[in-house]
Amino acid sequence: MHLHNDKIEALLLDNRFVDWVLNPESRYASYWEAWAAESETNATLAGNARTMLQEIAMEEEYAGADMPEESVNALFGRIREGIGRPEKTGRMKPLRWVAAAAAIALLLAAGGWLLFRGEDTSQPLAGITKEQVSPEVVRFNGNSGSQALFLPDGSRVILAKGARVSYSLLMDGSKREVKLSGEAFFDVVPNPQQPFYIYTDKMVVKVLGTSFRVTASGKEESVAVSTGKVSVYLKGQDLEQSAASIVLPRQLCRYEERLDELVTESYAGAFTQETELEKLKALTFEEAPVAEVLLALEKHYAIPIKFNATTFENCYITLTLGNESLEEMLKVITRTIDASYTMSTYGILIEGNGCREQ
Amino acid sequence: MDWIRMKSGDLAAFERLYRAHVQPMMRYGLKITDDPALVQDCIQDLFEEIWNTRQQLSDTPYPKFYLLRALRNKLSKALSKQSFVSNGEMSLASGDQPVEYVELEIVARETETQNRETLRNLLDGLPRRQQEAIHLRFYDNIPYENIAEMMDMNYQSVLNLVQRALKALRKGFSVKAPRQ
Repeated sequence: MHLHNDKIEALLLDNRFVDWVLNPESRYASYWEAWAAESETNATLAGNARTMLQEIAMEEEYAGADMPEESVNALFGRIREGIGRPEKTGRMKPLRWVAAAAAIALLLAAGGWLLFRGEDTSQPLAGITKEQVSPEVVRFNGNSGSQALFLPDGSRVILAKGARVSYSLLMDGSKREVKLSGEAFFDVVPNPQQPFYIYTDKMVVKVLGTSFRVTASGKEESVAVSTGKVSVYLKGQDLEQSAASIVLPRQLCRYEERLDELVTESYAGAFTQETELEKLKALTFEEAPVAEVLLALEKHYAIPIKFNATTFENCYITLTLGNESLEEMLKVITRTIDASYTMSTYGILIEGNGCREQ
Repeated sequence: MDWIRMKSGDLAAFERLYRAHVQPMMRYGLKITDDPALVQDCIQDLFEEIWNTRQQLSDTPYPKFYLLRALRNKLSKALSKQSFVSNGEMSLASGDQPVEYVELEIVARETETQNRETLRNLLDGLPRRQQEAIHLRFYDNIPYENIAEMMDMNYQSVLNLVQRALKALRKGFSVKAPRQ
């Protein structure tokens, strides 16, 4: 009995054994499985040691509580503010946003994207109850040309050079809300149940499903509509009460700073961004490895997607990235490869048993 | 992977590293001190430092080990700066808990456990350094040699430390693991 316990302890003092129990991808798995299969004694020892280890691990899990999600986000917000400071000199509040934004600009010039939820230092949106469900994603175009991207609801945006949009990672609130600075062309997927709002410094644009261009760069703020129609409000107006400026195709609504009001006029300019949109529609995969498709989704929707590349290495998919929402897309993909997906504030996790070799 | 991306300035990778490790770091920090605010401050400082000095950081295939070790160092420094911390924390931070004390603890706990059967109580009853080593090895999956490095002990001493802890925990399993 004592000897048996000593042997259990010897196993628990062996890094390889512990790794096998704790790490589902342990490279020692085959070794220990073979070892346990050697004799009944080994199997019992391995079983007991495993139970003991798992119970300790479980106790450690239960004993400490995880930090609540808000604290995790708040702490990261503070870290982000902290890294905006070049030197550690006291902790000052107001300027940090600017510094952080500059850092983002540099980073994204390399073609990345980022996701964060800091303290929102932008002006409060008067008259709008702000609900933030998932973390905020900020996408900044630091390239020299315009950049096309997808929003989680399937809407597409062409960001002009230097423009920035932010929205909640999963866009799962009762409204689809996007903050914009700079110029962007939107092609919004209609969804009356979940209206689409764009907030700029001075204006609020309400959309039901249409394509149009918004400019919000420095002095100029305007909305030019290509198809459909949008309602434009001055920021600070009560959206339910006040009358909106309705903007129709070939019209432009701009903020007139001198009068502090919105002026609508006819617009004869071209929407060059429409051609960019066409390019996006050409994103087609034919019998492509699922990893390739998921990476493209990850990139275009700016959302982390986790999956086990080895498990799904034999899965192939034919798919066109169209107007579908990210969720619809995930449904199609997981149905095809017999997998399931979960969405959380960390992104998307895809799980399944993989596909048989063809 | 994210570590390397982070080093090249990928803020998203940096955030992923943070999110993947903040919970284990917090839990581990609370094994060292009872002050969650202090642990949070140290985690904040640590990540800011990592980002600001990312170009000078060496590559590590085990960011978790790196982060836990760095957190421990930070906490030790912070705790030794607070001149009025409790003795328990001080001795832990400086790594000089006397051996006699440890053994005495176990003997005392072992008699106590005649009536307290649960594993939780046994774990809570372990001396803090044993709790720390157990947590690192069996919860965070940190290899013994790295625990030795973190806790500033030699390899064999860590094994001895954990072995003592396991012997003390045995009672919690005599009922639960009878399949022999």
